[in-house]
Amino acid sequence: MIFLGRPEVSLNGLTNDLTITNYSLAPVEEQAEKSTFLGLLPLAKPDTHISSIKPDDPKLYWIFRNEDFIRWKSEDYPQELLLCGGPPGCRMTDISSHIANQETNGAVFYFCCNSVSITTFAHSVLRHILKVSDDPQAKSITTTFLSSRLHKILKQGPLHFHDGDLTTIMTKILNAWGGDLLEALTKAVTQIKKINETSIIIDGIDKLGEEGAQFLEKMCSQAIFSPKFKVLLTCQPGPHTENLVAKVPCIEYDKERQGLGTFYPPVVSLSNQCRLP
Amino acid sequence: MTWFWEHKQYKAWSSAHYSDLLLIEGKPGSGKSTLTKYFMRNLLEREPLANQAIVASFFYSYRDRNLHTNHANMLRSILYDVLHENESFFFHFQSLYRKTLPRGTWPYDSLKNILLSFKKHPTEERLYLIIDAMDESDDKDRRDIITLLRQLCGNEHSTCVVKIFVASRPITGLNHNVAEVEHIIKMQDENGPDILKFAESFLGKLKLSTTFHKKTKDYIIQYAQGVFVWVYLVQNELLLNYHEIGYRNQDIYDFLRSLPTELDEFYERMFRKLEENKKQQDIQDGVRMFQLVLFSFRPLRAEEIQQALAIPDSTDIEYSPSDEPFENGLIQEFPKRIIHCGGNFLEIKGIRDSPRNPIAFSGLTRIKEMVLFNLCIKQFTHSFPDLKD
Repeated sequence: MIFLGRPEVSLNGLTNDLTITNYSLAPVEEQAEKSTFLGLLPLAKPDTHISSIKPDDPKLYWIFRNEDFIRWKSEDYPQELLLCGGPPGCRMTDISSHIANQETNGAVFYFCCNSVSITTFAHSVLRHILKVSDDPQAKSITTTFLSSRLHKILKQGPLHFHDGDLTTIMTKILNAWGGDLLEALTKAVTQIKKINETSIIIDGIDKLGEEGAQFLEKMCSQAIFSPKFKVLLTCQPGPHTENLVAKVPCIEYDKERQGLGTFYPPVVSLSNQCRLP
Repeated sequence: MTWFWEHKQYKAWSSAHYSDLLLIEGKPGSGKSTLTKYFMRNLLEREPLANQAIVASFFYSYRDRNLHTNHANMLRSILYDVLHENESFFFHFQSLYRKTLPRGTWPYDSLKNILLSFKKHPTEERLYLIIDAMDESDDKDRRDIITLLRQLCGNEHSTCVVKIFVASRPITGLNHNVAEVEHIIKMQDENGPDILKFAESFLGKLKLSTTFHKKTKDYIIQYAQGVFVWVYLVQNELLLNYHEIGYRNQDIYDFLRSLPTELDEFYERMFRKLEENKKQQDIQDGVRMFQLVLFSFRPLRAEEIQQALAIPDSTDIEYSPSDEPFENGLIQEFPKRIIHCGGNFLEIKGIRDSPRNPIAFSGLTRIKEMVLFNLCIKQFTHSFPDLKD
């Protein structure tokens, strides 16, 4: 038997087969109150990147005049997801930052994954999800998140805490490896049943790893619960984002234009160069 | 051809700050295609505004059948050039591209709409559309294409400036539209000095007396009527027959006067001369080469024709189950054989005489028709010798 927090919070059947049964989350549920929990979440430094791009730059037509992006921006399509990608040098961070600055749809969440840890990302996105949820839903999300985390921690080994040491438990839960946090978040967002208008713009999701891709996939599937829910993600093409690319409309720099070549007949121009595809 | 850059019509067309069309008009053989190629080759050097421009081109031609006469192919080709050179134009294509992606076909009207949408391109661009041999395009929809090109020039306030260069011989159906074209350069009005210079260069090799030099030159200028190719053919005949052998001035002048003054007749004469001083086998090979090139569905490679000629052209022959007769029948040094039997009418396309390069008929369309006609007659008389007369 392991005691977690107060003596009445008990966990049984933990040690050998990693099966956890019969535990109560009473102490952490108290922490699940929205305002209390938000106070415990580390606050990420706000992104101060200022985009210098101009959307009327012809070099950026590939995204700003792309019909998928125009649809994403349109008021006529309130629930839109879009994935944008390209090789290094195609200014994805500038582009996403510009889009976030221009976005006016409800609460705007912008996060650039390039320079901060996955843990910070998880904290920030959880904070945003709670912000756009009402109190009961926020509590439900928080509870699921915390219990998922606790479950994982206890799987890794017994925990010994002094009576009433909840802050230590919360620190252990929240200051974890980002992948674990995202895994818990993936379960938590299933509690979303209704959220306010929001735009989520995340740059460089390939930095979030497998867990990040799974979380975002789940998160995107919850778009139906919002009257206006726009998600724009950017990434460099890679194995982690393959699933997402298959499910979400995707603008990949110059890919369609390059594909066009296959539709042209072998025509000899004045310069006598064969243009076989 | 440096006169071109100083021509007032060119200058007016080029310097206008709006989209505009320049028509180069001339008889067959007057140098339209040569001028078009010259223009393309020197555009960037001669025209500072062209350095940042997009250059798209298409060369209508009967040679490769529908591929080069079809207007949809012309549109696809120049649109491809534009897109290849400047990725920012892709958004004009995207919608149609996605619609056509499953089918892989490009509707003609949609291609027209894409080209027209360039008028509304949001940023400043300069675009050169260079289209040669409009007269060799399909009759159907030709007027429609001319109208389209004129529509492209229709907006003086467009940020995208489209400079359209069209070369064509005078043809029925184009005249109505030509009347509305502001800038026209007629080759026969302009290439006199070039023809004179060329004539002087080869007449000098014949070392004629001053009197006959002038008479010969005047005759050539008079009958050239702006047709450069005719002068070129005259040069070949004169140099072939009189260069490096003894001759009289009067002989050369008389010979010159005996040459056809019309291009069609000149080519016909050349075709008939293919048979002169040739062995029967040369003539048979030549006829079969022409048949294979002119009647095949697609351009045949040199090696394909070489192998076809190795198969006996007779229904009476008995075949043995061996490669030996075939191997023995393969013509060695085949490119030389093509020139020997096909004269200047057959050419191996491409830079090198590779056996994998296709062989094409070289010459003006009417000449091709003439050769076809003669081949048919030859085949007919071969099959029905009793009806020859």
